[in-house]
Amino acid sequence: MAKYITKRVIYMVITLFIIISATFFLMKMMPGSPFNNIGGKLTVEQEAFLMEQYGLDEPVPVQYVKYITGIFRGDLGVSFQYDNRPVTDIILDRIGPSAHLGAQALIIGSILGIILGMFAAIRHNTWVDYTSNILAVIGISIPSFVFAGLLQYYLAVKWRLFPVSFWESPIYSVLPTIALMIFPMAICARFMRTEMLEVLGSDYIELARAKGVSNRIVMFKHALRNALIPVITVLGPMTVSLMTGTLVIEQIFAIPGIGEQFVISISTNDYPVIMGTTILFAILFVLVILIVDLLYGLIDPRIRIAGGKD
Amino acid sequence: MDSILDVNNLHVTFDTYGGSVQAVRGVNFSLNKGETLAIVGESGSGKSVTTKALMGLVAKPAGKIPKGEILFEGKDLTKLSNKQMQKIRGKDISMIFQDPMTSLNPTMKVGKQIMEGLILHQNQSKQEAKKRALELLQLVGIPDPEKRINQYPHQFSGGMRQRVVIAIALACNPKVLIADEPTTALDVTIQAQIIELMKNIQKKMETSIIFITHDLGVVANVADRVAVMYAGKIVEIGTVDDVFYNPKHPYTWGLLGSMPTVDSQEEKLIAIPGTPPDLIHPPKGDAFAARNEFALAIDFEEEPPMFQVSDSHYAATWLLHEDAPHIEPPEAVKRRMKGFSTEGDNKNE
Amino acid sequence: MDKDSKGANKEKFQRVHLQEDLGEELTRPQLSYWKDAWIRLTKNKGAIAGLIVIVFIVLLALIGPLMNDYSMEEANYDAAYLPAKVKGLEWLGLDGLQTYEVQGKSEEEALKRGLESYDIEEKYVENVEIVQEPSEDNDNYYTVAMEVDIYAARGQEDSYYWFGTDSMGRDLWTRIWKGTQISLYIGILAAMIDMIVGVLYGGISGYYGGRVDNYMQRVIEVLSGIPNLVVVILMIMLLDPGLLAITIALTITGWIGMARIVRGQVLKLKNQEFVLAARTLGANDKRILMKHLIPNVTSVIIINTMFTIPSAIFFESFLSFIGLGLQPPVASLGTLIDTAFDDYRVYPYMLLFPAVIISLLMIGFNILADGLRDALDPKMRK
Repeated sequence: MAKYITKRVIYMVITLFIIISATFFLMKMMPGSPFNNIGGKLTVEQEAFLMEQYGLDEPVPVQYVKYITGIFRGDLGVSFQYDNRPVTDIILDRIGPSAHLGAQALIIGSILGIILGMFAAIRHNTWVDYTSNILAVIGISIPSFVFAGLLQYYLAVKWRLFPVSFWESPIYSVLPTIALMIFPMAICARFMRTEMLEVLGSDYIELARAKGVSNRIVMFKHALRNALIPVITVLGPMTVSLMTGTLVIEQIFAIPGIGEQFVISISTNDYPVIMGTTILFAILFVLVILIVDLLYGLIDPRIRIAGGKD
Repeated sequence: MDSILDVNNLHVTFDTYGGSVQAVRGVNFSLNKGETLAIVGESGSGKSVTTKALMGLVAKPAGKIPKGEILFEGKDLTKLSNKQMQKIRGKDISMIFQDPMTSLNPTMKVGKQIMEGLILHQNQSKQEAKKRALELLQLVGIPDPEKRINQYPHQFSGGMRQRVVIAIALACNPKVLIADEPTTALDVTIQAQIIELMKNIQKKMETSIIFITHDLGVVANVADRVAVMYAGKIVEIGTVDDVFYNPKHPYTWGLLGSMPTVDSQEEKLIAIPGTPPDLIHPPKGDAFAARNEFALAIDFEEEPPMFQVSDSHYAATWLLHEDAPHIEPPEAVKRRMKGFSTEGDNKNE
Repeated sequence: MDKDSKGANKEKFQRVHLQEDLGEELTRPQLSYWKDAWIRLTKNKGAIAGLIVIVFIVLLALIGPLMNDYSMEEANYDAAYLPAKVKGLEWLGLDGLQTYEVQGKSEEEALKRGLESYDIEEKYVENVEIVQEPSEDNDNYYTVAMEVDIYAARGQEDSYYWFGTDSMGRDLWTRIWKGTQISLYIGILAAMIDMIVGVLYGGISGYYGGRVDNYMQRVIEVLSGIPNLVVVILMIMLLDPGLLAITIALTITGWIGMARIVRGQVLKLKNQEFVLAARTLGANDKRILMKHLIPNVTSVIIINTMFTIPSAIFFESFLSFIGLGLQPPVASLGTLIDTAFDDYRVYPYMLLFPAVIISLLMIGFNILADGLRDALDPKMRK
């Protein structure tokens, strides 16, 4: 197991290194100066001064080494837009609402999805199954920003049940959470249904029935655990959808999170912030994939043992 | 002899997209105390479905038992509710499945899977159940049960897993044990071990066994009586001697002819031509007629009744009718019949 | 009598000789794989509904812009912000009436402010309703909804904008269907990339195996470790937003899933007998790949392609929404939704129409893809 983890961590570091390097050099290749949008009225001297101030006059390899070593110290450079504010500060400032919203959507969405998928499988080919399938197709199909827009218009603007936007108290998180969780919920429900149906059709469930075990115990003691284990694998795609989702949902509901900052930074060419956020996303993504794999091994006795022998 | 299980005119159907499949079409047999009845037939002949019906495990809502009764100790199992059936399953009637690789719950410890039935049916405490589980593991020949009881199924080999499945089935001393092709998925050497194990257990526990298989070699070895199934019906039933040395149904001839023997190196195996009939629209007359080289005109018109050959031997073929021409089984089958008798002699020595 | 029946019995008990192939003939007719799949697909009501929705939207996307005389880019500031109005469908709410919510210390003041700020003459106001009484919460202001015949107020009595107009007075019907064309184009493009790059990559990797496969798999491993979103955003920033950038971004990331699936299938298939047989008969690699393997992986390719289309449509609209997509005056469903967000609280129709169309399109493609998967691969059917 230790060998396996080491191997995986090394892979992860290589992947991250490639991502960071690619991001860095792509940023260097970006057309135009990052200071364009201050008004386009910069003199050559002023621009040279700014370049020097941000260390952009140095040779690219030097900047690269500085950036890489900086990352190890938690230094992601300074923003071009917010008077020398360190990118790390900006991210830390804004990570709270994003993490809160993301965690809330992930937890509620996956629990609801699992319940929905489980009942769909138990009541296979009944109205419960059909309803759950329709909900899942809708959840997978409708883009989160469309969904967010419709929720916001009807529940907040028109019927005034919830606040329209901003991030002040728990009630403000209701609509964005719903909008953000609908996709993870749908994929979770689908996956759970498929797994549960497969488990319910398996020989060991039949054997449990042949032992005289009641239906309820067959479901909860034998089937549920076996069906839940593979559901862990959807955590990867779910995290991606949450990251994608926060970009638009935070913008729509004016939530001061990382996603909103990212979209603003794109429109203002604030390269250091874009890079910092990109790297953060990449780390998050790679970490989740690693955690999923390890968790899977921990929970499934088959892999647990196989890993142990390694 | 006392019978413990009587199956009368059992019908099982399954609703599918294409229509209703009549998987079992009027099966009759009885199982005596302490005997082993083998049911043989090719895939799709309805032998597994019959046993599912005995266990009350015909998958609802697609599967139905429209007609017939299964009498177990005077109770008709087809009339029992699911709750009542749960009390019988695993306690009075239990089952060994075909594929040991998939029939154990992969995330539950082996000991727990054995103990589950004991706790459920005999109200045993955890300690008692564990003690009994250890005994059972010993009984089915698993070495080092103290250690094995806390392991997961994937830590066992196929043969060992099948022993665990047998231990689960035996946990509550069932009166009837149904073994659905218990050796098909195993290596030949392991097969022999499992068969021996089952024979020993039967001697010790006096269980009645229904042994489903398509392997005639196994039948000759374990069974007291044999029922041959084709297209959802029993076409021939009798003692092992009846069916192996004096087979009457052309389908039984076909089965015997398609079986390899040790000393028959000179001859080809004889295949039964064609495939089993479509059971959504079963053919008129004898279902086997279309594949039967000895078919009579009446086979395509009317279904043959069960003709009695001897006290213990019955077969459903018009060839046994008084008006039918006398037809001898093919030479190859005859030679095999002889082969069995010499094999049997050897065994007796 | 007795003799007769005996004779009949004799007849009955005559032996009948079988023709050689009778046994085979009596089995159920074997359907070809594709015919069988087609029957399964047509039995799936959801998939057929999805197909109908897609065909309907595709047809409208093609002929919709030709159905009236408005053009895609022609601005008409007199006709800005007109809601949907369709002759004969007034009862559906497509009556060209616009509701404004305005606030004021009194009802009259609210109304007066509304008329001034939206530049409307009072005679066009059809209906006034108080939606919120003054209270502590809203600083004692009245909120009044005034319903205005805005077409008349803007001097456009004779015009019918079926989906309304945007802030520049451009016809949304035309723009939305043109936008749908772009979204569909992106979906099809992504599918093509998937088919070409993904199938070739996966096919080669799986077919040659060994070292080639090993290297190709390492590349995929690294690429898939990078979040798609990050790659796409970087590429688009590098290339300037637009159709070309989106195309390239999809090319870089889109094919990985397909390559993996095809490789898996090829690996599974290539050791099967019919490929070995072709080999022994002297077929060369290319021929085996093209004639034997590809047809056998067709079903997984079709299934995967069908799932690619909706996700590409989503991705484009998502990029457009965060400002990295198409740039004006080109419009896609994503950019239309993005623009609509600026003033949808007053003009909800601007959001509603493109939102409904993209949702229907996505649902249609997803359920058709589900249906195809069930039909083509019964093993995967759950």
